[in-house]
Amino acid sequence: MKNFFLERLKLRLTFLYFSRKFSFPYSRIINYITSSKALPTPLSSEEEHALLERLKVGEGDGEVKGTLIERNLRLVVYIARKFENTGVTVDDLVSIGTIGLIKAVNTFDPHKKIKLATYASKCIENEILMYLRRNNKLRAEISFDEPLNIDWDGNKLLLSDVLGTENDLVVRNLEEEVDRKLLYLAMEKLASREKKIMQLRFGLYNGKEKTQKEVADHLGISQSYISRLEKRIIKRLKKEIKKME
Amino acid sequence: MGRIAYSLIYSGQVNKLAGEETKTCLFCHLNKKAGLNILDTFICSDCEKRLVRATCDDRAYQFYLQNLKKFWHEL
Repeated sequence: MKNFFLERLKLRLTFLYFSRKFSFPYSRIINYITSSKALPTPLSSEEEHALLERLKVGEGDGEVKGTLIERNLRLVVYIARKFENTGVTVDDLVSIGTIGLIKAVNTFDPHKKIKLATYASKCIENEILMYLRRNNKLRAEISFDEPLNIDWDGNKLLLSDVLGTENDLVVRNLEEEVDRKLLYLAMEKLASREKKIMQLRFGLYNGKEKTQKEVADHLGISQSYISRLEKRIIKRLKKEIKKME
Repeated sequence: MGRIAYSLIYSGQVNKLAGEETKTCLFCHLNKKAGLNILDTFICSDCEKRLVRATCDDRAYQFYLQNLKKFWHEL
């Protein structure tokens, strides 16, 4: 007896696994796809013609529309199954398709020489496609309050917590500007040759830095002398800036 | 008195008394006479009109969808 229940449980779990894998919502694998109680058969062309004639004259409007809808439900299932691999459950697809079918029957013009099934299938497909398009758009959007992770204490790490700019992004530019002004003031205290060396070496006014060798060639002195001068000038500039601060 | 009248109207009793058969709408759950009969389910003509106008961007669309799912599950 116990084995029987275990076997039943195993079978049920296997069924559940496969139904989830193939994105069929469990328990309703769906009545309307494998059910013994099948959906109503589609209308024959004579029946459809007779109903459309009644629709033309506006006789029994609700009843006629109802019949046209229920006899085309198979079409909804057929079209919905074409979109099974889109990440939307068959349940949803079939329901969206039904909305499409109701819209089709309501907007169908019986005076036009077109079959209802042809018109309805376009409407059903359109309805599903519109839903999928909107769904995809939503999937690309993300909320700032989206929890990325939850720690053991249940605290959520939100996307807004990890987003942001570096702290000193605004202050940094201002500080640089102040430093530059201080440097230029300190430079005023240097001899003209020293000033020239600093300008060329660090591109202070035109932004073009030169190597020690290039500066040496420009001034007609040796590169080692430039190196020594540079160290001395920087030391002096530091002192001058400190004084000003 | 008003409350009694309200409950009589919405439970369909008034229509029944007048000899008119009413059904409960799948969406608004009100007892109404005119509408669509799809298998054993009824959609009143007001809800039907609203449904036809609804697009998937509307808030009500999800509501219609959920109720239609119920309709399919009950088949």
